[in-house]
Amino acid sequence: MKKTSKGFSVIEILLVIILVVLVGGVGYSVYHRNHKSQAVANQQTPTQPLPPADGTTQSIDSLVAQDAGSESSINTKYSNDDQSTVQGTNGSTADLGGAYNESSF
Amino acid sequence: MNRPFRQFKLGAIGAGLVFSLTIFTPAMTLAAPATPKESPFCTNLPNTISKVSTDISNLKSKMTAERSKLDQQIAAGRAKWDQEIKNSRAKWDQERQGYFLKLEAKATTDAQKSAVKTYEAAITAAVNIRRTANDAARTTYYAGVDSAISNQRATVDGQVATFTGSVNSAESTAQSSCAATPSSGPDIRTTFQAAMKSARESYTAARKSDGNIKDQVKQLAQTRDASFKSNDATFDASSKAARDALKAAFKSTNI
Repeated sequence: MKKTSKGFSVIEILLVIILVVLVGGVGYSVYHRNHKSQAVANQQTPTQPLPPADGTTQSIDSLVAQDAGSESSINTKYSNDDQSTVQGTNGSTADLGGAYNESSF
Repeated sequence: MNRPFRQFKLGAIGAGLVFSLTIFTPAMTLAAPATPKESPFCTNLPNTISKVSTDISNLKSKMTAERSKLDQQIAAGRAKWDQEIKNSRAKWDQERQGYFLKLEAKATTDAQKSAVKTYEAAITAAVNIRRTANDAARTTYYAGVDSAISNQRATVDGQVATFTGSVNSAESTAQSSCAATPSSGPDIRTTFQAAMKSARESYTAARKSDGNIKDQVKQLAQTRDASFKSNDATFDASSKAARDALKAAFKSTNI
């Protein structure tokens, strides 16, 4: 009797599983990185509820303090970005040191 | 003519020919000296020099492009920074006006109303003074970072000039040596390789030794943040003074 083989072989199934795991792993790491950066961004600019507007100097003090805190958060966020940007300047200058391989002359 | 004489004549002519050939052939070869064979290194040297020049030029162009991109990124980031600060301030100014209105509602006498107005003006002035001082600190930070970047670029440009000068010198020496003794390729090559290696390693070492701009920028940021803190302390003192004056006017600590 002739044996008919339909479906996938063991190797094909294993390859598919490996591929799915790889794609899933990459996707998770991208999601995790984006989620983490969003969480850091949210942490840096927290949105506090405003103090009660009860006509007291205390409420005005609290409001002005939140004003200062908000501006401080903005400064921190952009200062970190600025420093990161500035640091990314040395790649091409270092490359010049590998302009040639003298042993190939 | 008798036969012996003819044989003698033929012999003399033949000897003369042989003599001529033996004399003049070496003379002709000596008159045109032999050209020494050019070594493969010297033959390929123009191509080598051209390739090195092209590669260095491309990397210098890449460096220029990177600098331009960085300048744009920094400018864009600062523009966003300044705008977000401006938007935040506008928002908090509006909120503060609402709170002032609530406070004004508590003033019943002319003296109290005047005291409230004085308080509001003092708080507003203190807020504006803090903001102006913070803006100055931020501007000083920007200028410091720009200066650090500019200084670093000038240093790098000097190092690149030294590097390309050394490369050009090594190439010129190799070219001259090949022109003088084209067959001495192996020796010229060794000298050329050593000079090029020295140029490259000197540049790399110089780049490592002049430090990273990161530390300078960090220091500038710390100085700026210290100014912010100081400005906050100044504001707190002004705010307290205004508050105490208002409470005295109301003769109440609940205001």
